[in-house]
Amino acid sequence: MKKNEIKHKNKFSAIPYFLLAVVLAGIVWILMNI
Amino acid sequence: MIDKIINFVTNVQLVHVIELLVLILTFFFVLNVLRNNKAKLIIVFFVGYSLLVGALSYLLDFPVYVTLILFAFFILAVVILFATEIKRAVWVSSMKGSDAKNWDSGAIKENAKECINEIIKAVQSMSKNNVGAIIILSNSNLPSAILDSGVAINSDISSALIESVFFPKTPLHDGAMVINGTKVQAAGCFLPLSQEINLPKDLGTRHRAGIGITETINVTAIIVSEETGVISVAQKGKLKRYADTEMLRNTLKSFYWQDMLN
Repeated sequence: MKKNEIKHKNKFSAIPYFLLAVVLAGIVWILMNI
Repeated sequence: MIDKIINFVTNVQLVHVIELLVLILTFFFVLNVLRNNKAKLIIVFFVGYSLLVGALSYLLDFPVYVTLILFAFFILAVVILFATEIKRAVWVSSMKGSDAKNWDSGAIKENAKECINEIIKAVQSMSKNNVGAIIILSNSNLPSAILDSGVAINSDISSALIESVFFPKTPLHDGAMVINGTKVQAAGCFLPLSQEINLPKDLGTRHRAGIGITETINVTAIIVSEETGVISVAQKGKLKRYADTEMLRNTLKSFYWQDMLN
């Protein structure tokens, strides 16, 4: 149970970084293509 | 500029979508490596660098490949800087789902008490004589790279064997001994060292190795200091020092009856 809790915590803490990657990639993608 | 953006977004082609996906995956990889290594300053630098490269690419009208090369340099730098950490992450992900306990429960229950007594006897004797030692209690979950760095033993656990392996000036005394179930699986193994900078300075390489391996893999390390004879137990990257018989017994009981039989 404890192991699962730790795994969940890790999974969720990666989400903000994924969103940051999406936003950053979006900005760079537009800037380099226009 | 807004007109250009609208014009571009309405005329997106497949190659652009692939470009975007590659960028997202690459950025996420870099950010994830930096996040796992608590390199917040480099994350800020990476965000700034990306925006700068994007802006330069727009202002100076770089071809797409030049922009991608500029990012490739940064990624290469991250891979070189964090090569060990990336290797560890690959190990850990390759371990997922392989925590399965392929043990013969009956045999373990019968032998566990004897194994616990033998390990405690050896550890206490080495502590008394200031003989340095590091013993890893694993659940068949150590990467083969670590086991291959030592010498396979595959023998029953006995205090005499453990003490002989760690006897100073013998060929295997400097590495770690791996105990897997009721067997001494290997000795003289090399472990990844902890990169934690806040560890007390009096902890040597042996303690760093014990903490390092438990940071990444779900194993327990029992360490005997060569200088002081102090016994420590490392679990999940945390070190408990001055372990007495009671603590050792509880650690070993939890290994044999909970970790292995659950």
